[in-house]
Amino acid sequence: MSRPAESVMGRLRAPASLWCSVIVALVLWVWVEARVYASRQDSYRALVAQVEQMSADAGRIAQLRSVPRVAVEQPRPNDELLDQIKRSMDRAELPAERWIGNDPAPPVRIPGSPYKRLSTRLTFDGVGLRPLVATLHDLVTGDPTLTIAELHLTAPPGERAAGWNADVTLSYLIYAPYQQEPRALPAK
Amino acid sequence: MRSEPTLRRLTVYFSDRRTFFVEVDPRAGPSPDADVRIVDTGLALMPRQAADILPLAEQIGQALRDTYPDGATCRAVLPAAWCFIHVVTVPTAQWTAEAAAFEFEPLVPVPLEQLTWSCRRLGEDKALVVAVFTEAIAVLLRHLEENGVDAEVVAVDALVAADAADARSSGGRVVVLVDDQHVTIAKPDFGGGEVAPFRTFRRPAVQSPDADRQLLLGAAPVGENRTTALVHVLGGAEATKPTVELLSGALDFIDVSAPEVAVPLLCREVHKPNVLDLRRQSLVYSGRWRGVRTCGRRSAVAFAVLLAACGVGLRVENVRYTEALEDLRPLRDGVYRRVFPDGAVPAAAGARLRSELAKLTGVTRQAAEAAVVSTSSGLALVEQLAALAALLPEQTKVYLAELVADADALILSGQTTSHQAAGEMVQSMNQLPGWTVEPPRSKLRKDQTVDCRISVVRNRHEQAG
Repeated sequence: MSRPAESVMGRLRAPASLWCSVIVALVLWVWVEARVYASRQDSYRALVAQVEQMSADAGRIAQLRSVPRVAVEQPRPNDELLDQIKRSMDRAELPAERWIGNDPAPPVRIPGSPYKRLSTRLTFDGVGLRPLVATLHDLVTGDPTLTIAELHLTAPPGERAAGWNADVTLSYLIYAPYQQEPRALPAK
Repeated sequence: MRSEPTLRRLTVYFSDRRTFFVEVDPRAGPSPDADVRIVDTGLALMPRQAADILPLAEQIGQALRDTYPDGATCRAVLPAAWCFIHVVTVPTAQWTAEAAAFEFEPLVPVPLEQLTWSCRRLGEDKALVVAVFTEAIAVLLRHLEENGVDAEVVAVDALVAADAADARSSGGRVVVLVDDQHVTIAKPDFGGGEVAPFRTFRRPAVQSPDADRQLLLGAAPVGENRTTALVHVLGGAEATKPTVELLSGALDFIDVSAPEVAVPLLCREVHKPNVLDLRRQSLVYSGRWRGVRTCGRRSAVAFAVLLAACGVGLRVENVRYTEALEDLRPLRDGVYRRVFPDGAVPAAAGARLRSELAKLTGVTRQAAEAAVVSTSSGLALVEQLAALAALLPEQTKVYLAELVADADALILSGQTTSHQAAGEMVQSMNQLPGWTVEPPRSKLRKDQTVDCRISVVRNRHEQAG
């Protein structure tokens, strides 16, 4: 062994405990770095996957936003629906006094689906068939989520009476997926 | 020798007159022409106490460093003058080294705890016990080690010389070691018939042939085969001659008076395996594991370097991943803002988009149909009515009193002119695909008109489709 190399080894002649401490410290450092590395790698992969998934979702969202809807996200306020009906009646020249009642029913879950159906029964008295159908046509084409679920036309008593007594059931779907029930807190 | 990769062996010989560094080739014979290199340091180790030996040990250490800068492994030879040497009797049944030491302890003027001792069994019940002051020798050996020279064996010159003589004796012949300068050998004691210890001291010259004969007889049992005599002959070569002449018929003769003979003889012998070694107990030699320690140290260094490299590599990778993550986050935010241009980007942006997508999927036809929910046009009912009305025969007169329609059924109630007219209506309406018209219920009225009730039901398979 040459002299400089000997002197280097001489400097390295630290006590075994010091070497052990150094190695233990290095092992700990490497362990921590390895843990951080694994964590960062997982985060990076997760973020890459998330960005890819988000890009795909964003494209699909943009596509779906242009598709007509068949359901609404929230129950429509009743006043809003009534105003909508009234506007359609105006456009169809159906006199407002012919509309004599409305009876909204509570939403009903469609079994096995994430939807609820909400129905409103409209009652008309002595309406002509044409303005009635025109009103319904305007209503449904203006809001594609609305559906005429039931139509009940009755001739008013008396052969000379004009128009029909009509019960129309309007309905629409509410998208309401099942919510996971919150877990009950353990009793103390 | 590390500097010269040969079989040459180094001995540090602490004679009580000089300290020699001796390199010998153990394969060579004992002749003075053998391959020997002797470095005479001119330093002598006379004091026996650690405090006194320290300055001289430093000088010897310095001399070793100067002579062997790359370090070396050696065997050390101490002068017998430094040692307590006794032959003790130990009962055969109790023979152990510790028992020999127990018998040895009363013969020395210091507690055994201050000494490092070794023993060799001589025959059935005898033991040769040698001891040195531990502290003084430890100081000496430490200085050797600090200067890169490890003494793996510590031997005593008198015993090594005896072993050398013993090895040369054969056929019952006695070997005489003659030395008056460099190898200080034993003083035989003839009292009580016991062999005296090798407690060495200077004694007056012995001139008479009778004295030589007495010495010879008294010193006999030193070697293993009891044919070795250790004789300290003072007076130089001229004084030795008569003795040699007297004993020449019965003796081999080794002249170890001259350093070129005595020193190589001892130093060659000390490298043999059966030498009585004092590196025991507190002076035990740990240098046998030096290679392992060095290997371990180098492995530790390599492992530490490897760990450090791994750590640095991991650190660099972590920084790289951190930067990559920082680069990806704006990209993710940009994707989010394509969907929701306003507002802050939430931490769970991906989940927010998934939720939005699920909601949009839910409110569009595809998901609703997948959930087996009727999503026919809102005007489907009216359209069905129109289609039925178009199928009614033109000549038939009907007074429609009531119409009930829903997604699955259509009921017409009214009056017509005859049962036949009601049947014609049913027959016409049967042409509507996907619907079944049930047989009409009709009843003749007093005014000869007919009350009729017609039910049209959607086919089940159409309903399911």
